[in-house]
Amino acid sequence: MKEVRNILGWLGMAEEQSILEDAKKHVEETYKTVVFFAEAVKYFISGDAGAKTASIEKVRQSEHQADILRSKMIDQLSEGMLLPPDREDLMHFVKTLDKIADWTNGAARLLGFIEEEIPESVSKNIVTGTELIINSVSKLRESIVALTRNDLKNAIFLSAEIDELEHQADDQKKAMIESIIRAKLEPVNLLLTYQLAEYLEGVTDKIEDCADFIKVLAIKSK
Amino acid sequence: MLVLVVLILLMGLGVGWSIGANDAANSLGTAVGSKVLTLRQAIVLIVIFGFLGACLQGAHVTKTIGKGIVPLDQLEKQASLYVALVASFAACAWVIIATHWKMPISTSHSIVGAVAGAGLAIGAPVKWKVLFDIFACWIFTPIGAAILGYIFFRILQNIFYRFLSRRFIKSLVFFLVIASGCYVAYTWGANDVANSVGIISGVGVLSPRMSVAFGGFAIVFGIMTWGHKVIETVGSEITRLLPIMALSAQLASAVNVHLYTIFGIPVSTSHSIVGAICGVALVRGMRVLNFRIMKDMVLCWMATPFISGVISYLVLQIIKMFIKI
Repeated sequence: MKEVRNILGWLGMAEEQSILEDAKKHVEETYKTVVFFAEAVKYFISGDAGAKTASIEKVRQSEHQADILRSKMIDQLSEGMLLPPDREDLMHFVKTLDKIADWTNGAARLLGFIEEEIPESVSKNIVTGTELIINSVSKLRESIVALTRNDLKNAIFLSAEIDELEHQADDQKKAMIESIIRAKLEPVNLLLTYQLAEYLEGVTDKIEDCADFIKVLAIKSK
Repeated sequence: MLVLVVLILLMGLGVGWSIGANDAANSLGTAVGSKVLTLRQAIVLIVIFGFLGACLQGAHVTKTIGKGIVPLDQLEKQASLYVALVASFAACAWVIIATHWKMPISTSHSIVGAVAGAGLAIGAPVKWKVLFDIFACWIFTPIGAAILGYIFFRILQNIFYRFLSRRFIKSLVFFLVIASGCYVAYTWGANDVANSVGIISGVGVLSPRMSVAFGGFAIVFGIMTWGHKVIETVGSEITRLLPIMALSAQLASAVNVHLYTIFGIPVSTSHSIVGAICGVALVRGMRVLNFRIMKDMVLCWMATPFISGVISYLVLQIIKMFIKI
């Protein structure tokens, strides 16, 4: 029975559900950010500078939309008549969700600065790192949908898969740094690609943090 | 016959338990949340005042549910027992289904709909005017509480922040939060006890005095076994009203429910407290209200009497196919 039959408890739970619905919209926007970033990577490798810049701009706009959604969710958490039971976890969840888009935007900005062609060994690693991000954010999207549908088992299972992808991203970062060292790049490109490696791994890190909050919310909802 | 009586008593006990388990948090949950009271102190106060309300003023609404909607005392004994049993069963069933579906329904609405449905099924003279009056009061319960909440908050805000010394405000507000919470518990006991024993009293299984005492015990049983968990969750994790807001909302809700109780109208104490909180919250503007959530809540409130009524009607029709009533 928990507190849901009590009217005040029900109101809190309903507010929580409403925030999770917004989180679903937020993760959609974050997903778009990552997809636009993957597009930018594709155009960068094919040498289409104009298309790359356009995609980076799309990443920026999408990240801005995600920011607006985050503000709305935080307003909801602070201005509602009654607060959701897990408001602190939800607040961290919302903030972490937003960091995914932030870090993707950061990675896109760095990509924008790299103007010269880079060796294939490095670009291959950038593509692999981006694919890992897309896979992770797709799982996150599914996990949030499962959470809103109260399919807690699936939400936890998907979050565990995100953990696994994050481990792969760690290894991928190591491989990318190795390739950067071996490529003997110019100092500017060396700095930018190294930073990009950090950011690519950082995005999957943030996705994993978000998945951890999904686990917390799912376990508390049981 | 004895089996019917025992089943009716068990159903009444079940409804009373459900009321105690779910709604006890509405009175002093905020006081626990704002650390004015410990959980143990709150439970003791709710038990005392809820039971007092049931015993001292529970008879008004009990009479309405037992005899006001369908005159159970004027029916044949066996027919009235079947109406009582089926109505209790339907109300109980809908409460359990709604709990499973996590719907915020009212036990008062459920029992009123169920009694009317069973009465119709057996061909008893349903008092439509009384039913209409009750429905009208259900609409005005949250609205009235919201208006009272808004007015009380405005008045108390002015009194506390303009005329009283800051040194006394905290202790005075704390005392008044407890006092108004006890008043909510009292009016809750007085109005809601009828949901569990109105029918029992109506068919004469127990005398009116005995039935309210029985209902009071059932509610206390609900508080002791489950209500404390709900009070703890609601108090510590959900409500975030400032003590003066909690005081205004509790006072508004209690006055509102008390008025209906005096006139013997079964209303939802939950609707009253939500209405009162809305009224208090409206001082901060409309943006604090989530209208999507409100819409879901109102739909549940409106659907409850009809669904419990239909369950009750159908179950009694089925029984009539096998037993001559």
